[in-house]
Amino acid sequence: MAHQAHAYHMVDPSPWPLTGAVAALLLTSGTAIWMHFNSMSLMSLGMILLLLTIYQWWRDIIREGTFQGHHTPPVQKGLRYGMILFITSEVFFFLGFFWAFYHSSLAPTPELGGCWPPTGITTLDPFEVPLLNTAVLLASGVTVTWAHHSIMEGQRKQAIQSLTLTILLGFYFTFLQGMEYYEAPFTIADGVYGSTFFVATGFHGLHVIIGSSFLAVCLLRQVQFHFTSKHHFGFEAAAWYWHFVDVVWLFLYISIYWWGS
Amino acid sequence: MTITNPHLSHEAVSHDSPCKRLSVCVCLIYKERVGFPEGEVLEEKDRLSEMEMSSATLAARRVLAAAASHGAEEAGAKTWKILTFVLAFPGVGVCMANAYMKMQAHGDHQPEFVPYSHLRIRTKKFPWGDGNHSLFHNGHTNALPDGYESSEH
Repeated sequence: MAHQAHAYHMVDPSPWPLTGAVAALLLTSGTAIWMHFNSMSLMSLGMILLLLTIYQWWRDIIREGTFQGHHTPPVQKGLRYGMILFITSEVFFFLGFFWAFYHSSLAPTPELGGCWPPTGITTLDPFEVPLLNTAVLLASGVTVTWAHHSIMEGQRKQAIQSLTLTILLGFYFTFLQGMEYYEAPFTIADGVYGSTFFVATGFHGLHVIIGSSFLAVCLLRQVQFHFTSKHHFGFEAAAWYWHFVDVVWLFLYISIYWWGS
Repeated sequence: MTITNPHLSHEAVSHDSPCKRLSVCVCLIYKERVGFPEGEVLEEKDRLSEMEMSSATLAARRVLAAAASHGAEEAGAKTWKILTFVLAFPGVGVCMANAYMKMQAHGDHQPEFVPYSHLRIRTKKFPWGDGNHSLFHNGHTNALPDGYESSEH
């Protein structure tokens, strides 16, 4: 029995936007305090609050959409716009770091030796682990597409298999990058080369971890029968995000690893 | 009780906006697969035939159709499963073998230490440990500002 004469979702009052905002404040100020006054308390508190907010807010959205039926077609359309706009904002976020990289590398200063890579920097061979990383992410793009079609065709077991493979490939990438970070002959403190390299690839790695987590939640939901062949936007959003992460890596690989070596 | 409000039935809500074209183009690649009921999909198809499709979406459909020529249905799960095991995984395997062999060829190389002033910057201590080691510090390949640590080669 509908009590509303429209198809939109009037969301119930929720504390999570407030806890999320408080968490953001604690994290940012906490990190500054950690760096200057050697105390991790505020930052840790912020992290805990953020994790609690994330868990409970998205749990509520799943309840509203999957169990209470609030995600009608117009509502879903809005969610699609929202995800597209969010990913667009992330594109601009990475654009800034690419700007920084090209600013420094296209006109290397005399302090660096007037060349790129700067004097004294031993770069990573782009055709070793970085190339493997590229293959891993591209493969994960294929498996996530396999997963999508499996969901649409109602193939439950295949969907679970392909989604699991996608997540495993994501973990493999993260593991390989971690290894590369440890083995690299340069650090973040090695001038502008180190800064641009680790900040750009570091934020990318963070997004891989976020994307893998998003996919893992989708796997859990798929196992618990949340998705139907016609309605599975949570998975589509995760797949869009994963493709975005893949594309950012391709740009990183071409610019920093290959051209910049 | 009868619901007469079109928003609550499965008829498409008709609204044209500049964003519509973008969202349609994004959804076009998943044409029949968008989680909208059948009626709305038909509405979108009609509206599309009036609008020109972007060349990018036309190209994407051509690629999907080409890929589907191998499978019985249009670029279904079976096609992507085949691509996974025939293209994606062997590609990863080849790159794994290549990386492994290259690492064997010249592993363990420690770059020569030259105390350049533009590297190993320490204007501010790291907020962990003794403040002189980066987060992923590797004693073998990362020299400190004074040189390699004496405990490693």
